[in-house]
Amino acid sequence: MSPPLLAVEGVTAGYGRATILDGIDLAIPEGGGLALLGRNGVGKTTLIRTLMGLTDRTAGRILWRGRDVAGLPAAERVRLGLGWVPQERRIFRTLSVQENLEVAARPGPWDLARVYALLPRLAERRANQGWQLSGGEQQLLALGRALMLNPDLLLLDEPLEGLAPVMVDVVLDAIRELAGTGLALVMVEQHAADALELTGHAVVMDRGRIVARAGSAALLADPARIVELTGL
Amino acid sequence: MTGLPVVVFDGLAYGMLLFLMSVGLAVTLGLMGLVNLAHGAFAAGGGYVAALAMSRAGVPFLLALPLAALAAAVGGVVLERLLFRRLYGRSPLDQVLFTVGLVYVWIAAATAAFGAGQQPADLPGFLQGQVDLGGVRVGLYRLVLIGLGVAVALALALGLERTRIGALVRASVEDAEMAGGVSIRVGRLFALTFTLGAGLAGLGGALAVPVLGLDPTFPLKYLAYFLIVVCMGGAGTVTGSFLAAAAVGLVDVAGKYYLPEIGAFAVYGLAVAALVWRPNGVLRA
Repeated sequence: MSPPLLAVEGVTAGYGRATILDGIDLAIPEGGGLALLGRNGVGKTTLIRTLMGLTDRTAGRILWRGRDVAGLPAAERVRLGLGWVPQERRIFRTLSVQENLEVAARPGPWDLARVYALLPRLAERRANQGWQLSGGEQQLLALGRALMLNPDLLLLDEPLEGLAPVMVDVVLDAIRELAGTGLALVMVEQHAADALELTGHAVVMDRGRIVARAGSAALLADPARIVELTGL
Repeated sequence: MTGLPVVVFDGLAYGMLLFLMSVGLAVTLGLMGLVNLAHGAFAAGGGYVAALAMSRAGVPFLLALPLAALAAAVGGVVLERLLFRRLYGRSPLDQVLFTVGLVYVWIAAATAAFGAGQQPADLPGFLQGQVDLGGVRVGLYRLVLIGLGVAVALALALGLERTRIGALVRASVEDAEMAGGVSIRVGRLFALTFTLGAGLAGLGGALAVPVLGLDPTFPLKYLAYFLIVVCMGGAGTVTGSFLAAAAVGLVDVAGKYYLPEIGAFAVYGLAVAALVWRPNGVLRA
């Protein structure tokens, strides 16, 4: 049996002496989707950052297709197949839209033409600087930039946060299309229903631990259970 | 006021030397937050390579210049891998103490190896003398320095704005963590820019020998000027460093020419005024 795309085994991590994640275990198969649910401040973003190698890990292993990558810096993890759409987008504000995409380019099926075809708003604004974009356009750019990496697993950290309703639909449509291509997803989202619709499984976090696991479809069909587990 | 055009030319030429010697420091400060007070040692190193190559091996001046740049660049890449990379992410105080220590190591080593005196470096005949520029007689070598400074600034600015590697550097200067998150190997990029910065400092140092002189204390003597250029120009910007270096050169030369008793302090007044006006650099409101 081949190993999962990503396996997290007993990971404890945080920042400096502050431990935030405590004994996290999870696995994502090739093409799988995982919703990461929970209230603000329970460690969801820290878990995403830990997968990227941007926190201080004190215990546990992170396996990429069976290979321990816990010691690798972010750039090397990305080159193996991780893609990251961070909270607050963090596009390069002084680079043009096209430059933002080009600096992330890695070999694979996703290139400028395909990203522009998926996200035509970016094509219209290709010559604009990052700082000239609206919040929604910045989110599209963060998504397009991650696709230029040609990832096998996309980490989406609150991709709908702060977006106007019309832009939420644009971003959700794009993610839905990506999920349909077999790209694996980990999605952190306050709006649990949106994340559950796009994923096969869900975990609920509280105080740095995983406190519940469920199938996304079953959870989506039981809103009371979502409220009970997440407090949202 | 007949001296004004000459003062301007001399000031700009001096500014171009400061630009070449300090632009690498501005870029590395912006890219990795490295406060490298020993950057002037690369300029001095380049100056010694050029001066010694000319005086002891008879190497022509024009060949000594690329030799100096290459030697400083090689020194830069070796020291970056061995020493400076250990300072990334450390506190500014650690970086300042370590790199000031390196300056004193350089002074002691250069004094032991080459003596405490000035190094001779005569300009070749074809770079000596003056040329008539619209009725104003200006030093030919000063003119060459200005042309070279402008050419290097243009090349760097175009390289940063128009090439893929330039975009990688700009992205990394803006957000190094996110740059890593889109597969940019920021450490390697830094080593590359550090090497280029050291090489340019070496070139600037070699060009400076006939104008500023050279002894082992050179990195300490001009440290304040390099820092003023970087602070006024802003970390990580070539254009800002260019403008700041030109302003520092002009004000320093003009101050010493017109107000010889207090002119040496003019550049510090300029620095204070510029930092009050634009604390993050002249190009950043």
